[in-house]
Amino acid sequence: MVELVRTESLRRYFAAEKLGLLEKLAGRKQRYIKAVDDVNVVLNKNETTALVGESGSGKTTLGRMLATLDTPTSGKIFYSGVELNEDALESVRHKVQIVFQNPYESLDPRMSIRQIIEEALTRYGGDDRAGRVKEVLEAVGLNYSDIHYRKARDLSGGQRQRVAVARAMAANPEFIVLDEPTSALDASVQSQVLNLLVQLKKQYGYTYLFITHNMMVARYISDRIYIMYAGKVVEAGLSEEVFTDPFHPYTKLLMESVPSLEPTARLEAMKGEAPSLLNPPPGCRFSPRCPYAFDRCFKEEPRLHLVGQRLVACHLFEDRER
Amino acid sequence: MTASLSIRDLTVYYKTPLGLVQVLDGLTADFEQGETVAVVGESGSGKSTMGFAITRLLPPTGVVEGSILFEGQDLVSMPQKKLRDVRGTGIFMVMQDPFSSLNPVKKVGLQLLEAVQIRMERRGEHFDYGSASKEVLKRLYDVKLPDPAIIMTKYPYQLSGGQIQRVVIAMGLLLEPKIIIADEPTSALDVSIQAQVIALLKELQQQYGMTLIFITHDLAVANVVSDKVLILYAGRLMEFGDKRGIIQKPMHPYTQGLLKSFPSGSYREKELYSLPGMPPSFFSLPVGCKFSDRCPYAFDRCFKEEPGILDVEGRAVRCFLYGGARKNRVA
Repeated sequence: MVELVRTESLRRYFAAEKLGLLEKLAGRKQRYIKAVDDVNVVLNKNETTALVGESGSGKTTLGRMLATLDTPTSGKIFYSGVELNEDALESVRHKVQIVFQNPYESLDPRMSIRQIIEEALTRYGGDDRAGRVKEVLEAVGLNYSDIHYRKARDLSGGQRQRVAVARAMAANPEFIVLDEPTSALDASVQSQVLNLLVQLKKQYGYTYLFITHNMMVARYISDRIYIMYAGKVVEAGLSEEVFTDPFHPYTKLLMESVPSLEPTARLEAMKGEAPSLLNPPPGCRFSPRCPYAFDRCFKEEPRLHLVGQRLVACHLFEDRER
Repeated sequence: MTASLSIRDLTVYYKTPLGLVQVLDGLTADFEQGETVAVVGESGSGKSTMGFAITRLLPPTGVVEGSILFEGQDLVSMPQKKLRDVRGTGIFMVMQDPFSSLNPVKKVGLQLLEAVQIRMERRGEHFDYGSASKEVLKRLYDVKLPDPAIIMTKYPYQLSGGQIQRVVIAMGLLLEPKIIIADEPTSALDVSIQAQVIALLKELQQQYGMTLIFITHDLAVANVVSDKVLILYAGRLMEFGDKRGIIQKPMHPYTQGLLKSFPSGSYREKELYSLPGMPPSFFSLPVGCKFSDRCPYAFDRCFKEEPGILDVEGRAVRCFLYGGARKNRVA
């Protein structure tokens, strides 16, 4: 296992409101939405790491920072051991690509497919750009001569997402952030794209960060998984282990609330809603919804600690720390 | 059990600049009182069109043929004026996007009181503000909203998606409809909230004996919510029957493919099954069976002739593989 990306107490705060001069003079304090709050992740080379959480958990914000599209408020990102700062940005950027959730919005409808992919090569492409366009389009299972002259608006959702993947591949990256790449696709097309991603990873040795809210997809595609809740990582480990034996109460409840195809499937609904990030609850952020919460959970925030091979942020597991 | 809704040969066209496009073709189905039917299909399968056709809320470009019998009356030929009495208290619809289904400039409480008023007026009862507010509070409590009295004083934008979907369900309860049509009511919500809303709908449906038509693209959601499943593909009913049978032993190759392509296990163990190709466009449907171009079992006849609906072991299936059309049957 070779480490490729690592973060150290990564934070991203967004200003909740813009204060006027009078408000500033009156001494009103600026409030922040803590979208990502003190997050440490490690992504290994040629592994797929799934980042799972509900909306507002900070998974997309974290993904955007790792894709160098957003700057952290504080904390550090290391890429192959090199700290990502303004000097290193140029050299790192072409090794990192991102595929967005909605292929209906992420491709310019007026550009031809060839132009869309060629654009990604303007800075980092070699001499044979046309050849490279052809190569990546064929790699994602599209027929170059049928498709290169067409516009994104003429393609179906599955085809568009293949083009988006081809565009990400064009500049020869090492690391691809996939932000819910199959959520906008139909069930029968989703499995085609998942299979393609697995095959490309094998073929080109990519490292993926796969952001999703779909637990079944996360289980299928990933080697390792991070579960986020309200801007924090609550559990992390090998996917197989986390899915067969979840530790954190949130992970457990999240899995029970996913509908399945089992004949005896029942839904266990979690109570309450995700907390406001403006005013997160004191202590553990999950405590108001947690069926196991006790006094300490409401006062003291649990830190992430190692239990076996697993990281978990829960007071219930502190005595099991090894 | 009696059918609370009988659909016969329902066909819907949309007028477009390129001519008429047929999005539902000869749909026939009965919905029994008190049962939950999941209508499952991919985008463009005509599932939402079906919901809007039943409530007659199609855009002006929509043309409806066939019949939809509700309480002995045909909704297709019913004049708009009479339809207004059916909507709400007869058939209530929960839309996909919770924010667009409430009036943004009226407080939630007022909109719910309006629902009570409409119901009472239609039944010729006397509307009394005091008892109506009590009823609204009770229903908001039923849908498990915290602090119902405070929720009543809020505007829709002040509530979260899950809360609004509950307000809409509370409104449905206040109208006491015979049928609730829910068009992807949980697709815009998070998994934990989705589970809450599904559990709530099921609980209330059992309590009040309503018929629930649940439109979804997710077979797993259909599995936990329904008694029966109706599979739509390219505007055609492909399979319709008991949920247990369809999920455990699907007959139509499309249903089989959908179930098989559901992610399970890990990529290290196996490749996911995937149907070849993509859902067809209504402008260029295949001749013959509409699924023939993606079907692993398709033979000559499938490409020439469209199969009709067969009754196989109490299940409706639209496929030539059944009913002795071919000797060496697959599956």
